[in-house]
Amino acid sequence: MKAFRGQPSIYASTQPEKRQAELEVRKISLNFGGVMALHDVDLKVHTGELVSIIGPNGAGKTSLLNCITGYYHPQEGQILFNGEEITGLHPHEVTQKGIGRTFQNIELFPRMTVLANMLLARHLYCNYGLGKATLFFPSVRKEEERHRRVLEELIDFLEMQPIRKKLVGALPYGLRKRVELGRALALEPKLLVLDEPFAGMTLEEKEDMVRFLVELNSAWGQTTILVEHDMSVVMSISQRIMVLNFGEKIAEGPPEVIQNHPEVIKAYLGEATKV
Amino acid sequence: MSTETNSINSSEGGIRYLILPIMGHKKMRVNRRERFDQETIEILSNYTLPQILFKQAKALGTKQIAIREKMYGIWQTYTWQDYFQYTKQVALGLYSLGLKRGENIGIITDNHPEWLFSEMGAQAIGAVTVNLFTSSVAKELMVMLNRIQATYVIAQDQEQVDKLLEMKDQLSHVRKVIYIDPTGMRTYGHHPWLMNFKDLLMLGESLDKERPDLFEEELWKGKPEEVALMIMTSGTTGIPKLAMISHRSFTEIARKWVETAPIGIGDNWISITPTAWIVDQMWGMGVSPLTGMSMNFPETPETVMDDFREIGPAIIITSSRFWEDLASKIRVKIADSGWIKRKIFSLGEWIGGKVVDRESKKEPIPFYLRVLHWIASKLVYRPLLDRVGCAQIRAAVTGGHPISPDVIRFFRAKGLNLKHAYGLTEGGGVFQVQPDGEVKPETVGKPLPRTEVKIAEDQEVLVKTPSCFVGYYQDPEATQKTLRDGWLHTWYSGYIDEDGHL
Repeated sequence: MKAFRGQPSIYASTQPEKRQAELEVRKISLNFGGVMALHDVDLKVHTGELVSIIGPNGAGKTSLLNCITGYYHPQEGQILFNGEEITGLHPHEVTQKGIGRTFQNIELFPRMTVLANMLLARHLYCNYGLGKATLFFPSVRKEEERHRRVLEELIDFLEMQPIRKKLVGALPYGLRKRVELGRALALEPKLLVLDEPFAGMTLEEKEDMVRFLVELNSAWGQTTILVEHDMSVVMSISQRIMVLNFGEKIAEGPPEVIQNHPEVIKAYLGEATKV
Repeated sequence: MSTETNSINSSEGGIRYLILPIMGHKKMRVNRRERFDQETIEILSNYTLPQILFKQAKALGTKQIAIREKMYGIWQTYTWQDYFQYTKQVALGLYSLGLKRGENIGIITDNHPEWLFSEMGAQAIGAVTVNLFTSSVAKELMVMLNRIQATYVIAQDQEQVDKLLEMKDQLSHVRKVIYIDPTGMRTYGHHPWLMNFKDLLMLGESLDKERPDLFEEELWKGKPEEVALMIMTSGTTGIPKLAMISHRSFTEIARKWVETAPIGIGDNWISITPTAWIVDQMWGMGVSPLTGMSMNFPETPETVMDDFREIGPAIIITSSRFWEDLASKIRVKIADSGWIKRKIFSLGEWIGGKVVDRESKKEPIPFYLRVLHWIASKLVYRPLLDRVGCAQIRAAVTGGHPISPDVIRFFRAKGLNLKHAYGLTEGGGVFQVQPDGEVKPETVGKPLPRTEVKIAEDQEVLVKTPSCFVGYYQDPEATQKTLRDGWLHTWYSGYIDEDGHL
């Protein structure tokens, strides 16, 4: 019954301490040869927040995300997640700590179905080994059913029922972005890192995505970092915004402050968009 | 799915079950279906629709599936007992909110089980239900709700609630809006005008604990002659009229269907037409409770084709466009396939065409053609029908706009029992169907049992049937025009041919 549509069990059943996501980025610097991508960048994200990072092209937004998720290793500075240092860890280790992400240029397996792509994210929660799986023990079957249930709840939430068995390669761009979000959510991340989830979407797809993100954050307390160029979206849904320019943080604060910040207007927003 | 073959004697009313192997349809995979006998159905038809549900819940209980809904990728099932429990909770919930006998309520739902629970529940305590289209714009909803002075509205989701909130000032007679799907409704906080469907169920449950006899008291106050529901009909005047339909109209129409079509307990109906239309109303509220057929609700409107195939309904009534679309889809797919497949298909087409032509002319079919037809059905027709989910269909009925005889011939040549039907909301639904074995592509068939059809002097089709509607809501003039001396004036013109086909 639709009346019993509610919170996916991964949100409903988890304890608050399991959803804790305190991220602290301390004075990190990242250089590629002589090019300085990030310089002394600080960022704090608290549990339950939706923080956006904005800035012009090449400002280092994606570099910062890559540092947080372990794709790049900053030369200087520290990154702490829930008090633990994650600075030098590999991406898969960071994922195990509870940070899930999506990519700017969708990184899905195009020749696999939506379900298979999402199931991959559940490897973190697989408790059986190769032997048991080969013999398909009842316990394996039970576990698989549980994973499928989690995915189905996410599919219901993201309204992907018609495409669950379609190949990802055959889907339009906007839907692939949604699948990627679904995969990131299937990790049950404490911190969700989204790299331009709205890029290349039609207006309607954007509206859907905003709906999902707002529901995720406000109703289920999903801590989220969002990198995005669409200012109307960023300004309407984020609680806090950080602005990067040429690898340096130039401003941080709630949307109203950022909109009127003189340096931000000069560097990024431009006079015309001043509201 | 196999059904139990024991006959069950229920304590009340002496409901008996008759086991009938379905004969005459050699293509049936399911051999045995329980069916209610005529007598039982006749007894049942003396009750109101919720009373019938009450009896069926006792008789069929938890053994049979009443409703299936696809959710989370699986078909979730509700037994007759579940169906009754939810209905009871809705009924008592509405009662404790203050819904009175004789009041009207509006229901704006998609095809989901809550629709049936709400409609049955409201009728159980004597309210009259009107289903509105979920696709209507806010103003249309407002006009219709004003017209019926709805006291409560049951709305599907945020989309419908938003429309109602927009018109709130003009809807002062609506005491509460109950929304079903809570998605996205968190920001609405505790709007005093809105209520969650789950809370309604809980309200009903607690009242049931307090006063356990209340529901049955209210239930048995209902009379079959009373108006159960109203259905919007497109009038020639442009503004839709509301046809009042009594419990008896629906039980009558259901009886007619049972007598003409081979349907029994556990047979599947898939609910894909809007709930505000007569077709799903007739089936969900009338035929399904009376015959024990299962109602199946697809997951989303986009997944209907897949869900349709998974269910494999036993009988289907759709608009002609459905079949035309399907026929063209099949043709396109065949055109895209390889040379061998194309050849086999066209051979199958040719054989099927020959057989159908001879059948409709009532000529004998020569032996060689029978053999070829048998081979073709194994090779082409069965796999094809299975692909499109029509392999289990015993009767496929098309109505609405006239369908091209080519399309009918296309499907009949594949062994699908597709036929024309004709009916009016005012007549309680479909009353005219082509009987098996004498399908003529250019007619709409013969009247169902206990239905009289005659042609007036000016060629107008007149119908006399016990399933006829009561009248138009607050429009005695239109009622007077349409119902004269027990004859329903259809405003359609037609003729009856020498075989009695309309």
